[in-house]
Amino acid sequence: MNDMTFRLRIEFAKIGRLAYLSHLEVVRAVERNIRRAGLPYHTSQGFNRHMRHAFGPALPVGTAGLHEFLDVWLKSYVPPDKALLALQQASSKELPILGLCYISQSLPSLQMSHTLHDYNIKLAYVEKNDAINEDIALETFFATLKATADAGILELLKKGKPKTYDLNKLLIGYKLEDLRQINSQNEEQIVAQLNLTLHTSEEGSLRPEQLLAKPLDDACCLRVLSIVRVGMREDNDS
Amino acid sequence: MAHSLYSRIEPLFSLVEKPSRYLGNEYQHCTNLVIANQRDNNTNQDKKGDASVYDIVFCYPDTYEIGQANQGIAILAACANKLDDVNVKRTFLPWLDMSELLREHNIPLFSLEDYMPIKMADMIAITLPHELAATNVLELIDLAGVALRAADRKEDDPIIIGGGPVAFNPEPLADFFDVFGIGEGEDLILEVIETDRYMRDSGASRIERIQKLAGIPGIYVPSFSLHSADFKKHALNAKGQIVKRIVDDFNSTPVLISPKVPYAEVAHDRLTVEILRGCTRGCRFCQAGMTSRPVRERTADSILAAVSDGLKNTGYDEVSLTSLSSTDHSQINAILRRLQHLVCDSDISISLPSQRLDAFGVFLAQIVEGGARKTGLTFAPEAATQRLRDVINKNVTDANLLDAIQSAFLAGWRRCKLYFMIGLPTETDEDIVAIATLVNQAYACAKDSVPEKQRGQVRISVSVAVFVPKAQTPFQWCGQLARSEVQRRIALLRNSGLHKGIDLHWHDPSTSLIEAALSRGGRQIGSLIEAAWRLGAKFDAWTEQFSLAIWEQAATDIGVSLDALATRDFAIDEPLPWDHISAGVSKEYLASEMLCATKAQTQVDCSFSYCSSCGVCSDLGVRVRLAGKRCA
Ligand code: SF4
Ligand code: SF4
Repeated sequence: MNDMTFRLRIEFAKIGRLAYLSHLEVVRAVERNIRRAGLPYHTSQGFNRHMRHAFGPALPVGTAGLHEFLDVWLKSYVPPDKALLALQQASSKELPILGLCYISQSLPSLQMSHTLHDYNIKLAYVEKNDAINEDIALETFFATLKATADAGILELLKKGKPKTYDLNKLLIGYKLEDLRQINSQNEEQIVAQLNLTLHTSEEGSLRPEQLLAKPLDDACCLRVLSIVRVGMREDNDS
Repeated sequence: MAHSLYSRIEPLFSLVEKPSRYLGNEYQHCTNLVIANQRDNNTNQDKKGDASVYDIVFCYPDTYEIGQANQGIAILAACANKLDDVNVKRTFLPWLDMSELLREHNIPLFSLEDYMPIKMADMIAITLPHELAATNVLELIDLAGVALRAADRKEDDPIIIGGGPVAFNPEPLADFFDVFGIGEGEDLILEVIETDRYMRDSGASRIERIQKLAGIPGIYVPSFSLHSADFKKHALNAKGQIVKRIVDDFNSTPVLISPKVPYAEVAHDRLTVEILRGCTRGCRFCQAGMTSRPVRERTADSILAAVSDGLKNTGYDEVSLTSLSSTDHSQINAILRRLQHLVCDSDISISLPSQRLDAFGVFLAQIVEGGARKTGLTFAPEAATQRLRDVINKNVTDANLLDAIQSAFLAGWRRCKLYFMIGLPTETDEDIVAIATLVNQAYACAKDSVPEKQRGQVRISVSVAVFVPKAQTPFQWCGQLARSEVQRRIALLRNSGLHKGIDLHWHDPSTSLIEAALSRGGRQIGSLIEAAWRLGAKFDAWTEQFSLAIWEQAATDIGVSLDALATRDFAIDEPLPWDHISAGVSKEYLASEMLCATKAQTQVDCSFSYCSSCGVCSDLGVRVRLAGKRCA
């Protein structure tokens, strides 16, 4: 890429039904949004030319994201307010473009820099459950989660092979909020919400569902209602 | 008042393979159907649901990826969307994992627009793309919670209408439909909706509504038996047939330049602009070539405007100029040159899906790109001897093929796929062996056309399908080749000295057997389809899902023989199950073409030369409409 390219960082969200898109589907949809907006994007050369862009860490199918990012390289400068308006006019309601700014070419990639991920997870009771279990479900869930976190390691099967996750590096913090008191007032019957911060790096990453599998199993009658990545941050300590 | 099923469906998303098949909500630019220079801001997104609104659900009997890519359904939905107070919705057949979950949770099939049960609609319109979708049609109706057979439907049930290529012989599916629409649907669907809405609002009963629909030209009500007084309620021609509908002035019909842009990766994930309709090359096995006559082209200007607007509105990185035979367009070179100028210095590519090999010169080889560069070109000589090509009226020569290969490989292409058919009427062993000879020549020609160092990259593959006789074609009287003979001829081809660098694939003869059993079947075939579906047949067009054993069991259960159905020859003067349906081409013409075939006499293409009197133009009051002069 020559020096005459401009690196534009775009913030978007993946919400509503579109939380069920895969990362590849999101990439394709955002690429099309950029083409519709008429931005002068840079392309690779050769037979099969592609838009030059780099997305932040992928969101799994079913996980929403409120503040997601990508970088796209432009051939010419477009004033940010004009670019934002064009992108917003050509975006889907559930993949909205939230903001943008030009950034230095020398900044590291989003994958390298934005390694702290904050999640909000809502829990509900499964449809058919044993009411006796309901009373202790949340306590059991929390106890298992705490025990796992305290142990500092998580052992899971990945593609049939055992894999050990170092929670001292991967799990930065968690907080469970009991919402049973207001349970009757919310339509979706949310029992609790869990705020979770995970660290991802080239060495490894952990998805919230992986961490929650055993606590949910032990609690028997709880299920995940929604998982939302509420933010992505730089890890200033590292 | 029923509610959206979304809250019951959402928990299932995490349990299925591709939730994006069921999300709907695709991006759509606010303008919808636009003729060049004529804008219209009409979309269905803001229409409020109330009793006076007419609900129609367009359904495609396959997965979202296949159905969403279908132009027919997209065009009809866009046409219907222009009407006031009509809610246009879509649904596709859920994949096996989702349909199992829907049944387990007792959730009926829903529309992607509002997650309402499609059973609540006024009308369900099902596309009938090919014979192998028959069991999927039944699965779709059953998942919707509507009685399978039209005779068992209740007063409140929606009217189920079918249309598409298979409707040219609707009899095998007749028991499952209230109404069929024959031919092109742009005008027909509007008349159907307006008529039925009027009848519904006047408090008519279901049967009264169906009777009223029967009077619309192009509509066939299969419950009105052939020799009954009811049958005369149809709009019939002088021969007592229901005649296909057609859009005479195709160029003035809107181009779909703001289609819904899917999130899931669909079969043809690109902007599609239909540049012409109809093909009169006259290949005698080809149903589309007979039923889509006459040829009607859009002008280069309207095509260019549509591509330009369409790319802006969708954000696609590829545009495909579609039709049955796009390289035949009288202005194709000018169109491609102007398009090349439009997309130069961008990542947007142009694809031309159907390449006639006699029209594929150096110029096309250099321009046409798209995904095709990677996957390669495809040419369909169909038969390898001039005699057999004359029989089928495929008016190309060996030299045409070798020239096309040379142009392509000189221009940088490295892969090419050649399509042939076996079991064509009058075929001999000599014709089979000739496939190997011709393909070997093509392979040598391809290698000679590339620099020595790149010869290792040359890939020629051969795909062989079994001939399936189709209704409304000159070969409609001919039976399919017996299964044992198909196997023998495939073995003969494999032992005919095909160069070892050439990949040979053949289409599963058992799926062709089912296609043949269904394509020329009469009404009794409905029981076969139902029996197969009840035994678990669905997604028959998906190789890994197809089970011949199920179809054989179904045939045994109802006492028919698949082989007898498929291989049956009809006498030329025998009544055919689809005689009451006319595609405009006269039966006499088809019979004379059959006779020419037996003598290996070819027929001209009226879009290049003179009218061969197939009958469609005089019968339907239409004409060939070209944007310029076609030059062979
Ligand atoms: S060229 Fe022949 S096979 Fe192709 S669409 Fe036309 S008639 Fe059919
Ligand atoms: S009637 Fe004549 S001009 Fe019209 S499609 Fe048939 S052959 Fe062509």
